[in-house]
Amino acid sequence: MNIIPNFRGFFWLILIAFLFTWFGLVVFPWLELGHLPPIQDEGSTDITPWDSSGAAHAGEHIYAANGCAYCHTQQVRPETSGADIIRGWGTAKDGDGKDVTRRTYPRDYIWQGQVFLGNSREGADLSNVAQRFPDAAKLYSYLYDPYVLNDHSAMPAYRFLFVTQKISGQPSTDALVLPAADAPPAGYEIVPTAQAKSLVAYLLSLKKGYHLKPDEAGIPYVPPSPNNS
Amino acid sequence: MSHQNPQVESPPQPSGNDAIQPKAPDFIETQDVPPLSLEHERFPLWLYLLCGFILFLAGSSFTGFGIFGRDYLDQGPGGPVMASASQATTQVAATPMDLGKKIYGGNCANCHQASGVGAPGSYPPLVGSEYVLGFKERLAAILLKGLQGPVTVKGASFGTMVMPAQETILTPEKIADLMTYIRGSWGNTANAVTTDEVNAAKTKFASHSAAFTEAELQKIAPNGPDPTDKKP
Amino acid sequence: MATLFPTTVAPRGFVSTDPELAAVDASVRWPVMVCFLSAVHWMVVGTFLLVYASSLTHPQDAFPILGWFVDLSDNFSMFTYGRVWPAAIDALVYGWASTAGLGLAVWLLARTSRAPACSPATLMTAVVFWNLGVAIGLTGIFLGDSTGVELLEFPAYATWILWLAYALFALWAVATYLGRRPGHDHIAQAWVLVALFAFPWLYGAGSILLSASHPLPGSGVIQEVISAWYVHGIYTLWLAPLGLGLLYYLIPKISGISIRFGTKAKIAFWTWIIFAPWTAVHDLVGGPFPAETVTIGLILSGLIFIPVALIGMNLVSTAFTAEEKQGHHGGVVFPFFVLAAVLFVVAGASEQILSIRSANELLRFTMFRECNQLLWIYGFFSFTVFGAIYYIVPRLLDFGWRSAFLIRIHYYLSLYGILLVISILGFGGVMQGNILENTDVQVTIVTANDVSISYHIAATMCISLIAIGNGVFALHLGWMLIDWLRLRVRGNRLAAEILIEPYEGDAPAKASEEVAA
Repeated sequence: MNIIPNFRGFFWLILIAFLFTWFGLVVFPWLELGHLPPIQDEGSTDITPWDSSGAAHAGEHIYAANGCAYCHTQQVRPETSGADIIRGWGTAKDGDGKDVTRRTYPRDYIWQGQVFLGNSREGADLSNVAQRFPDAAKLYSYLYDPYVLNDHSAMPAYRFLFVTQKISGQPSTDALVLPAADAPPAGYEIVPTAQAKSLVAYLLSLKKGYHLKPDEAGIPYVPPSPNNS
Repeated sequence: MSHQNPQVESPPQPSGNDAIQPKAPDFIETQDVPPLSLEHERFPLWLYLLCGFILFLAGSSFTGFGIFGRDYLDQGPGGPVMASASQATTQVAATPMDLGKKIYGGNCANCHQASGVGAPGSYPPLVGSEYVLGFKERLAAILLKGLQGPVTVKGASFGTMVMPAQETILTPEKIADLMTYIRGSWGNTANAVTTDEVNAAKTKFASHSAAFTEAELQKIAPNGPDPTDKKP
Repeated sequence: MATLFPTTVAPRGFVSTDPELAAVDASVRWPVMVCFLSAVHWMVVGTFLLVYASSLTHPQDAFPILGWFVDLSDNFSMFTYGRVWPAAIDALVYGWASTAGLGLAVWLLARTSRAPACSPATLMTAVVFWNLGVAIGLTGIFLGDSTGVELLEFPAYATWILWLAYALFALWAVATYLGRRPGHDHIAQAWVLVALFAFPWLYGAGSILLSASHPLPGSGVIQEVISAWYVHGIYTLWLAPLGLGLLYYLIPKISGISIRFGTKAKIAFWTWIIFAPWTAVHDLVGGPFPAETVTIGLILSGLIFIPVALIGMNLVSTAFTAEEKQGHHGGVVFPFFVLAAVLFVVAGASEQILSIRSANELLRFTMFRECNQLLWIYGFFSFTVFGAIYYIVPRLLDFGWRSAFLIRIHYYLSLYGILLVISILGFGGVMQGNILENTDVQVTIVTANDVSISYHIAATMCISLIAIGNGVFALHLGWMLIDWLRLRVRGNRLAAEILIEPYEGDAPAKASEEVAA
């Protein structure tokens, strides 16, 4: 029995088999979701999703290089598929404080240069981490010592993102406020490096508190006609 | 004359009597066996049964097959078979306590812990806290505007972390439910809080933008139960 | 290079009794040996990094010596978990598995072509470049240039080196295959060719479309889709075919029994190629992706039980029949192949579990995924390569392993290690998933951490067991090489003395004049 009766035929069959997977898995989703435009929020002048600052985009590199995506996801599944909403990871508020708790949609990621949906949850989902931690100081102290928030944490400490320096004159406004166990010796302060600042800026940009139409996946924006409002 | 070199050694023998020899069973190469047997063997019955069972399980993925088009995202037929999985989709919380519990889990438990005990030095406990059980207006002030600086709760001092304001995150209704929950859980037995009471506090503190300090909170109301309040 | 090691010493008998195949083995000796040696080197590196990374998953309960690892990781960016873990996996996938896989592909292609291989120099260059690329890539990850894309963490300056190495290798492979002796086609050739076609496609698309310096603008979630396609493509279209090709080739050769249910081998081959890559959607269920892609993917990857069952019947039943009939429990190498075949079926079963939607939603973000990865890399593929190295190296060097006892120790340590790791991570994944998907609002990620930490500790211990077994293997290989070198050196001296000594007892001066001339 000859598995390869004809090399050319074999080659073409393999090619077709690969193309089947390539088109089905990569090309068709790309055609559907690869070119999503932003939309204008109904009833406001917001462009959604919210874009983030340059510092936040720089933070993506720090997030990637230090492998945060190996323990944290950034995708919230719907209520029908897992308990992500119950865990509170989809909880978000819009500008008026109204609840926008929802799953994440493809359009949520179009401004991100590199997307970190993640595949492992040793730590919490970070899609709306800025909603739960709107304060940079808390994020800095958590990065410096994860035990501050959770003394069972398996998260590594990122002390190499910070510098312990002597206080010269006035204490720096960036200096971390830490519990006594982590506090630097007297006369010293702990300040974040530029890498830490970018990373925290990135984390602070992670919130999905804007409206997207339910079940929408990529519907192009149609401006409201003058008769409706 | 034959060639003899008395210094020639025979090649070293494999050391130890455990060394692998060429005739060891795994090292004999059977050249003439055809790689694939062409005789027609029947598959055993258990294989068909097993594959049938797997096909049956795999059929659970067939839901949603009819949904094409980019308007629909992967929804899933429902979560894993947990006891209350179907209730999760309806999310009908009847009482303020239920709603408050949900809000607490999503917003507060990270710091104050699901059991309300907080963390020494950083997050005050809510269990038996004089601020939780005392005047509702003062508690509402903390929730609306946040709390900064050192604070003493049940004799212990806390102050390394700032509590963020919840005014922009929770509606007054939600703050009321949350207050009801923390005042009635973990052994706390203070009475419920209404949305009107939270709105009144919101109006009263509208001009106070920064987080409250302990001194300011003590000026709003002293420690101890509110004598004008109804019993729970 | 052949002149450095003349074959004047009487052969010990490991070379194939078929002179054609013996010539083939001799022609690919050095490229395959360098592949295997460098692969074992990366295996040692990768295993050490894996133990280190695993110990960092439970920092607060680190054993005393591992506490020192934790301090390192806190204070030095090079040793943080987010860099050590991808370095470990990449060292194991590209350094250990891929390099050994290239060695297997070379040997299998050469053997099934039944012609001495052309241009070993091309192959040697390819292997050297490949190792260079892996070394530079790993260094880049430690220095902070990781791209953060799973299995594609090597920075761009290492990627192109791997590309160059593979191009050289592919040229050689095509030339060898086209120069094959007709009429001896073997199913192993089909498997190896699939792998050789798949890798450039996968690695090209993956590294170009997902590298940090050329992110697809505005592509959003498509990056994740391509990443899932790449990761599962590497496991199912690059590593699995190489391992299966070797098993289909060596199991009949060693046992003397043809592959049973051989008429199904062709169907198994094609169904694997069509269905297996769709396991990529296991990483997409419930996420912001189109429903039809995910559903079709789950259906197709749900059908993976067809090729797994067929391949299982092919390999496992043949292997067990051989064990019964010929009592290979006395053999030391064949058990590796038996276990490799069994672990292939187990890996297929874990993919089947993940293709069931409800199970996937439970297990998707848990340590079950790590269990699946380790099943492919450490389970199925590593056992295939161990058996292959134990079998092939004596044929290439015509020199035996020093100790059957050490091979047995390696086998049992690895066997118990991998079975325990799979059970721990699998069961731990279910436990972790139960907590993460619990509908009680009071349950938080902290609760999940508390549950999973015990499993992480147990996994570290079992990975250490595997590491000890692998260390035994590496030391055994080193011992064997040293003994072989000693034999060669003495053999050289022997050869030199034969050359200098006069044949017929003539005047020594005349002979030495001839030599000196």
